Amino acid sequence: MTANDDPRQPLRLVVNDDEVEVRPRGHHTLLDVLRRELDLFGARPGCTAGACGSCTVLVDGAPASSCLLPAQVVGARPVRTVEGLARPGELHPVQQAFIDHTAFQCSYCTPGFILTAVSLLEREPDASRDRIRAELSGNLCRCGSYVKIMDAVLDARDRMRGHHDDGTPYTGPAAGYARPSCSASSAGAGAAQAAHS
Amino acid sequence: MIDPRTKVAGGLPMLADLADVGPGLLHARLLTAPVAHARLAVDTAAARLVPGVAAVFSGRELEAALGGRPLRFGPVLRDQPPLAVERVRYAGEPVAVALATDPDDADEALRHVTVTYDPLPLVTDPVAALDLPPSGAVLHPRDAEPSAAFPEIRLRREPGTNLVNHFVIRKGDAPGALARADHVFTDTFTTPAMHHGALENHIALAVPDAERLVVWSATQTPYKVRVQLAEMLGVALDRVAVRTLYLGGAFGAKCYAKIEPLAACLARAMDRPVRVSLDRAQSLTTVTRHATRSTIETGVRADGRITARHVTAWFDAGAYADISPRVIKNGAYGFGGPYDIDDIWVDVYAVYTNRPPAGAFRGYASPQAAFAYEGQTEQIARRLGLDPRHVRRVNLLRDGSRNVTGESMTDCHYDTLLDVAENAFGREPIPPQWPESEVRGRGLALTVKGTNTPSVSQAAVLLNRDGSLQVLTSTVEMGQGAHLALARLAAEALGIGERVVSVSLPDTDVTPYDQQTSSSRSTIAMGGAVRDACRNLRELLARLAADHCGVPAEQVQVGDGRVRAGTATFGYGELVTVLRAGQLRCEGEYASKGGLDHETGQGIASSRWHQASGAAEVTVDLETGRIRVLRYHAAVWAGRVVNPVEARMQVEGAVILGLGSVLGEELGLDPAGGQAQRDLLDYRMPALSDLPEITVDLLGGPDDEIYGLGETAVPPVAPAVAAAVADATGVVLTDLPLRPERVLAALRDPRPHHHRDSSPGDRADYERIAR
Repeated sequence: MTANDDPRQPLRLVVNDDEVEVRPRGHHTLLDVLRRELDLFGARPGCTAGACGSCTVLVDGAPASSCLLPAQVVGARPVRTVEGLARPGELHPVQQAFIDHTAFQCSYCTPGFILTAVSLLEREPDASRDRIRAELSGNLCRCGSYVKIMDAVLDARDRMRGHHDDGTPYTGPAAGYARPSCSASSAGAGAAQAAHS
Repeated sequence: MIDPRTKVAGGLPMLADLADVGPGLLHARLLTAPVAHARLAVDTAAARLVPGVAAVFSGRELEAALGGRPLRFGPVLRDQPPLAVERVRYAGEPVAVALATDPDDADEALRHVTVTYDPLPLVTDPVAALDLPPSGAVLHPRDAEPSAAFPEIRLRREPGTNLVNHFVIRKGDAPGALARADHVFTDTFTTPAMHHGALENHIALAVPDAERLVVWSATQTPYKVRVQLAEMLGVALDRVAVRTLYLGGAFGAKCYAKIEPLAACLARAMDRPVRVSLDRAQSLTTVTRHATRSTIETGVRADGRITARHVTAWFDAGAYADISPRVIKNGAYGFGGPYDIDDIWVDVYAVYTNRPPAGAFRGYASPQAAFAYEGQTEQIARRLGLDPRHVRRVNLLRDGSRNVTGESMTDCHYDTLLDVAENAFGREPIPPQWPESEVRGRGLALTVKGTNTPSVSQAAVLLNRDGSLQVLTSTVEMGQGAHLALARLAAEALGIGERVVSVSLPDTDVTPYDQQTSSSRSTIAMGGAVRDACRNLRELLARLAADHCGVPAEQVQVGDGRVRAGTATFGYGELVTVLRAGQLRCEGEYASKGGLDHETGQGIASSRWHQASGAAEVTVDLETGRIRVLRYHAAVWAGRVVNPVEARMQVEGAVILGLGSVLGEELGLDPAGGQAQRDLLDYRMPALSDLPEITVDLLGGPDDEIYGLGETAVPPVAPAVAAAVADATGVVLTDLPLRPERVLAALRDPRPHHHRDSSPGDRADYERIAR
């Protein structure tokens, strides 16, 4: 098969609430499309075998290894990347908790961990420590920030549900954050990116 | 400074995200060898006909395109071609490259490259590889040119053999002292090759113009890469610029040129920008941690005091020398451990084999050495019926002791570190076992690691009219937090807020010289350079204010962001404005001194001795052989901690890396010499579910010296876990990783392998080792 035998096909995707048209070849993955055509670099190639979690995105709210997912099969299911997580002027509580706990070193793996955690906490607001640990074990951090990542996700859980495990109300930073929906705009992440320069 | 909001938004600038480096960017795709050792014939004719392909090169064709000279690189010995020429020396070595604007076209072209392999003898055992190998089994029959990257390294080689380098230490009279010892114990330990596992794979972009080459690379060593590229291309240093962005982890894998030479050659050959980006399978074979085999012969008095030691170790360098000649130096002085041994000889051999090249890896030979010497500490204690903690205690280096390279020690904290490890889990006895098939034990280890010495770091600080300060540094930020530490040191030196300090990304055109970002050295060395630059800036501000106000310089005070000259007071930025100075710039430098005698290995090996202990509690399932680490306590002598949050995370990360090395990580070869692990499903690294409870002690205080922390906590992990397993089972395991089948085999046959307690005079094979 030559590249000509695998022509580019127009495809409509819903990424961070924007309907976009892309032209992937049949073998292109969602990760290829995000990085090559949409300039969304938060999902990162690590192993391209679904083993490291660096390329994690949410498809229909569930974590997916975008390196393994052919773009053509995504269809109309909404895709959320880390760029589409924050709202204007306000980070997602999981993002904020990662900052508050310095739950990263090089940060290559960070978007994958955050999206995995967001998906879990949206589905299971009361996820236990063991549940969180198990769910996050598909993501690798070679810098070894795991201790702080657990701290951050536990804290984010309490922020999002408004109370601690013992029932006492959560009063720390970002208390009272309304749970995000998939309608979050991508402008917030763009603002965060711009803040770097 | 890095805004943490960029990290949680996936927006930290990394090289893989740099899409636009100029018109006409070509993507390079590599074809790699499936066999480990063969003569090579590459036919690219059909591949060049694939639509959309700009070029296809074999190694020979790439050399022809650049004038026909051999293209070779390497930080010590220039023995490595960007693409294999005539001969492939490891499975995974690049043998052809295709270039296209659309990477899919390049991939397609590679399917049309024809390569024929004519097998050569497979060399995988470094010990055997040293003994007069048969024809064809010498990987590099012709000696390689030395590199200007490390001109000071003197080698001990035998041309026409697989010896890369032999490093010796001769302190005292080890043979004589062994002959007089009450007991002599000989034990052999092995460690396997490992993958660094940085989640960002190797990537480089080379952008040529008529006169110069700009190379963007995810490298830890921009200045070393620059000299390596310049010498390979035969151009002056100023004709090459190396720039980095933030790195997605490195752990030593990104030290010295790796894929930059290929990117540079392709950019020159095509006169277009070229991007080389590896996938995981390719990164797995680009560089590894040295597999080692270490035989330690130690003479001991009946009370546990070590009187003599002779170590013979083989480090598997793989197919190219990379930095092996230097790694074995650190390995050699590492074998003394934190112990006071009057008579110690060490012989370490780095040997070519048909494995992927081995290079720098977090810990830099210290973890391999520590697994061996601490394993033997356990063995010695058991054989003499002593407590292993006692054997450590009576042998510790203390201030005034002479270490393995004859240096008089200062700032030793091993007693404290041993105390901490002994008390890590309290003094309460281990609870009763349940289920019966599971046994529980505790163990500890005590280790030492040096740092790159002698070394030089230079920095500049730029004071702007608004009072903001730019630190220009070539220190690479790869998650270790060096840039925050540098900003903090600069802010502190000038009495200004961290928020007005920014730290540059490395660019060899702009940022001052730095030897490299490695070896746990940046906060000490680059931190020293930044502090020196800030001192110079304060002096400059005082002088300028004195001149401006017409007061004696000694009446000027500089601090807390202000300059007070007589009755006048200026903010730093205000003074720059008033003087119409544009911008003030001051330079600073840190240079450590040292070096070892070529014949004896005596001298100053390291400007700092990084001291650590670890304590582990494990269970061992006697039916399955599975080891579970329940708790791990790391203690390091941290001295003055600049950045407590990230310092602690560096130690935690070091522990987790160490746990991977002890519990399962191993890069293997299949019987044909091919790489056994092709991805991260095969090569499993620790995940959250694998972790024990980890606790950390950073010992030291604000008045102490700054110590490095990136690697210090790695070496104790494997020996501490092995000691805990020995405590639980009575068996000291000698081969990493401690896989269940190995544990079961050792439990069935608890006689330690390679053990010999010989009587004085029984030195039959000593002559051979000591020759």
